Amino acid sequence: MSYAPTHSAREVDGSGAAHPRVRSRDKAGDVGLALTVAPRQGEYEPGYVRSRSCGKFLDMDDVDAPRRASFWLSLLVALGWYVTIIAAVLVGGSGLPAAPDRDCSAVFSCQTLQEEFGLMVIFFGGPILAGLLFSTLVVTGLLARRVPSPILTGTLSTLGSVVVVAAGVVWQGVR
Amino acid sequence: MKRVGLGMLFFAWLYGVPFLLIVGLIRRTSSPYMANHAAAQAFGTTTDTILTAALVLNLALPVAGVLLARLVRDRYWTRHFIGSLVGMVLIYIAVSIAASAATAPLIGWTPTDQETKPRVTQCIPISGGHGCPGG
Repeated sequence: MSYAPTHSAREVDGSGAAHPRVRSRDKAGDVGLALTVAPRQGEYEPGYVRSRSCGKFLDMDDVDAPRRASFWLSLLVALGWYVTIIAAVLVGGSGLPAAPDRDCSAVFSCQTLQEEFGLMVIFFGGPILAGLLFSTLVVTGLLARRVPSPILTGTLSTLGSVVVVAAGVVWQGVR
Repeated sequence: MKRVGLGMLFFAWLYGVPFLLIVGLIRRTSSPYMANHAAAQAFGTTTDTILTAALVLNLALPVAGVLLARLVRDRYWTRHFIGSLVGMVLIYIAVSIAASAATAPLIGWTPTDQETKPRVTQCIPISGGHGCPGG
């Protein structure tokens, strides 16, 4: 958990001197305590009123949660989505009975869904998987800076990536 | 321990409901080969059960999650479960769009079967009924 504030936590008065501003959540007691402690070298981070050591014994619930999601946790949530979707398609397709009297003389004419999926991965999977991976990494990286929840970031990243790759596939098909 | 339980509840909703919906919709939109009417009915019943479970869990899990998270005063998961209510509504909207696009009802559908219909080979005239072909 980071205690470092953003630059907006500083205020500049008319004389141009910068004064650290106390967040509204901070209690008055915290501020007085922080300001009366003699600062050691590196005790305060630039632009921050509370000392690093203060956070150890102050009320931790008053500390703001980090405003950015963990990139790797978001990526893990996105990976969970892909696993879920692929597993659902395989499970849904595997329960479908096929007609016993089909004409299977042509090549690739009587394949199970798993075989079709494997062939699709071999022939088209490379570009699609690479596109999904790349767009997921980019979208997750962009969203993780703005969205505080890794669950929301991973979910939105999956949605965005699927839309981007689907648009790319349609565009290739139309061309 | 409470947080782990709430997390499992949340991820059961996040991944479980879409999983069931995708499985159910694939079965619903497919044209499976059904040798007889009983097999077709069993297939339709299983599909209905999967779709119904998905729709019920989509409502039950987020609501239960909000209540439980508030009960144990877990701010993190309360926030997430309140957010899941928005996801719940979006899922219902997506399902209703799919249902409106389908020609038959989403739940309560039975696939066509290949069972041969018995041919009428004999006509027995009854009082007040239709006449037999050929008199």
